[in-house]
Amino acid sequence: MRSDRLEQHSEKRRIILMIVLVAVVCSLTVYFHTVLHICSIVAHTYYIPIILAVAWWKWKGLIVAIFLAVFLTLIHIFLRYDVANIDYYIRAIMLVIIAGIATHLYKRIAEASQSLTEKEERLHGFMDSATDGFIIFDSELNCAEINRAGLSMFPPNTRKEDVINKNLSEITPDIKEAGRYDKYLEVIRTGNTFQIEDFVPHPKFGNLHLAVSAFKADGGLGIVFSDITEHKEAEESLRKSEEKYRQLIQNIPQKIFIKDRNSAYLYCSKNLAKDYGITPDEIVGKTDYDFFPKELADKYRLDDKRIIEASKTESIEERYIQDGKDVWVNIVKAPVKDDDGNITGILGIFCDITERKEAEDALKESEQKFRAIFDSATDGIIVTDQKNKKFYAGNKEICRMLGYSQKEFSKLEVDDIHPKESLPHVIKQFERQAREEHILAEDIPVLKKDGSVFYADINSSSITMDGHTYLMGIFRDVTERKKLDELKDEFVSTVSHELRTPLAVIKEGISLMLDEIPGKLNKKQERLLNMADNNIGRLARIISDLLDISKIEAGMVTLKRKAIDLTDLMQEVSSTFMSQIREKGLKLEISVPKTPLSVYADTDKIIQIFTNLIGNSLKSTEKGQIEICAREMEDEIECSVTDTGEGFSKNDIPHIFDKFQKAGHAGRGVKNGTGLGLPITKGLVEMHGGRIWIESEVGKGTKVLFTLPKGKPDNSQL
Amino acid sequence: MGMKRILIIDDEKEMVDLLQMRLEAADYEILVAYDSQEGLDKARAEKPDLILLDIMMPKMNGYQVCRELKIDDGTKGIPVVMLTAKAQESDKFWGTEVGADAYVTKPFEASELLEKIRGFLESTQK
Repeated sequence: MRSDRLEQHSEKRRIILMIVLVAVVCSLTVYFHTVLHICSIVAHTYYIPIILAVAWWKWKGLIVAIFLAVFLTLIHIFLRYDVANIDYYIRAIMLVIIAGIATHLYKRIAEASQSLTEKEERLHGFMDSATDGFIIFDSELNCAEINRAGLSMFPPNTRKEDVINKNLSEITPDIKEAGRYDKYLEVIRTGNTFQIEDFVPHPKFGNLHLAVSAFKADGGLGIVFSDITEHKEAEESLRKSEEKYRQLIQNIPQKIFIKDRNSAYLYCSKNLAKDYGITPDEIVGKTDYDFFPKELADKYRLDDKRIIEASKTESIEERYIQDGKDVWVNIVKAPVKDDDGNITGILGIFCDITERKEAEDALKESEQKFRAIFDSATDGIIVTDQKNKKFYAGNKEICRMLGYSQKEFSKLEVDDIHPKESLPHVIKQFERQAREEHILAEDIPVLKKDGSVFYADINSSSITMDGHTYLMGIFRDVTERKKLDELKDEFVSTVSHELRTPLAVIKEGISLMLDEIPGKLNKKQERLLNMADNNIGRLARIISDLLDISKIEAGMVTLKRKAIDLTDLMQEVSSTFMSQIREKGLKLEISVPKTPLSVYADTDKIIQIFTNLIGNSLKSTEKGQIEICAREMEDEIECSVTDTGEGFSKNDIPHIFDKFQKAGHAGRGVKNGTGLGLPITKGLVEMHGGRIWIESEVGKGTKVLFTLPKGKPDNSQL
Repeated sequence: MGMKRILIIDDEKEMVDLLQMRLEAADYEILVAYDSQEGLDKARAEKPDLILLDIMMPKMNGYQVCRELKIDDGTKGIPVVMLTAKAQESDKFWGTEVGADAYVTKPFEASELLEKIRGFLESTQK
């Protein structure tokens, strides 16, 4: 395409050149004819093809021309037979010279033209390969030239021909409205360059951001426009990101500064500037000596220096004055590096940690306090990780008990402090703990460092901390108590035997007298002996109850359980009271369901429970009735013994099951009571896994309720 | 049919006196032994109709005496009522283990004891 155009171009020039040459030759010929020989101009028109030939074929043309000239001259001579006419020779020579000059001239012109064309060609190539668009307008703003990049700003498929020689207002119809047209005219008029950044809607690429530069050129207007869309977008995103960071830095609650290598401030956040009593702009160039006492500023500078030298980030906690208040801050100081890794300064970020610090102090204090309490406990305490059974904490007392130092203790676990043979039992207790809230494991053998064993009651409960479950065991050394217990049991047993023997003799003696076996008695004697007999009976009951309660408390009573029908049993027990009830003029009601009520219990003990309760009611009730009742609940049987007797006061109720608490008191209702009936009853009910409680009101009566589990319960007592 | 004979074996002299008084009043003939060996000998020699046997005795206790009586063909048919001031479950257990026929704790109700004795003697009386 391009070379075609180039050829077209040079051809034009060549034609022009030839016309000029023909004209010159013609006029010279005419001149010579006129001067040398008047002759018909027409006759010499054959020079024209010669010249043409020269022009066409250049050097080849010159030779042809010389031949032609010689040939024509010879023809001329032969035709005219005018051989002697020198004029012809001169003319021929002239012709050759002229042709030579013309050829030379042509060559020069052609060369010049060639080089110009090449230059132009190069310029076009350069213009077309430029990424910036060029448009050249003449003074009337008609387009004279446009390069490829320039064309690409126009709708696709716009050809150069569509633009060239068109007026600017035609090419971009809306340019006048924008006032740009006049602006360009002004550029042409004044010669002032006009530059603008412009948004141009582009059908293909959306909005193009163009940098337009218009200048006066060669009387017309040159416009260079470059597509800076990408550049602009990059610039915009950079600006946005910078803005974002600026906002971030300005708004985060932390205080931020940047110092140069010499500890002079380069930047600080608003809130820090506020502390310093200046604006962020004023900080530049200032140093810590401008804001802090010398010692403090010295310290800060030392910190900075250290960080720069070590090229290491440091976190420093220190006191700091803010708004006249003493606060704790955490300052993170980090070296700032450039792209090459050279340290250019220091970045500092302040965090107010006053609250945390205070909380920490409070925590420390409270920890110390609790540690002191923990350590001063007279019982040994161990906190154990439920999962791996490793010890988490232990107090001084437990270390003393075990004979380990606190350091040694921290490496121990459950297995280390119990004799091997009792470990399964201990582990079982441990697992029980996992299911229950709180347990008391009694008489657990504990292994000391020296290999000796002591017995402890371990009262344990679970603690959950940070989602981890721990067991806290409170160890009480019961070795002494255990010995004492054993001694007590033996004592009680012996004492009761030793008491019973003489009692039996006294009782039988009095009984014989009362039966008048040794001889007749008078009324007074009989009354006194009866009195003695009653009290012997009471004494015997006390001894018996005492033995019972001590056995229950020592866990020495074993239940012989089997499935029994409660309704039968209640009938049986109440029948033994029938005579006494009738004697007192009371009524006895038994209220049980028609179907049997099966409980898994020790018959003798259940009889003892009912006997005790009915006996109590009988003692305290003078009129009305006694009702015994049993009903089926969801998973237990609820029994009750209700009377219309004296009742208990509110103050007495909480102590009703305590030993020797004969509420209502002897001399009033409870005659001949041992003060142990209810505690024994409670012990028996609880041994069966039931509960017992009391509802009572003075003057209205008493209702004692207890439950017995249905079916076969857990043998937790075994 | 003569009077029924009851052998009392107890080291407590006072208790023996009282029992003797009570049982004689109830028309029984009473034999007395104050220690275990004497009791065993008397039981074997006299073949009483019933033996009242105390547990807590020196040298040989009531259980041992009872066992001896029960393995001896001559005496094993004699009902043995054990008398003791011990009232523990284990005592009762041992009592029945060695073959005692009844168990009465001290102090006892005379009527209860008599009733028990009467029960045995009437059942053996063919």
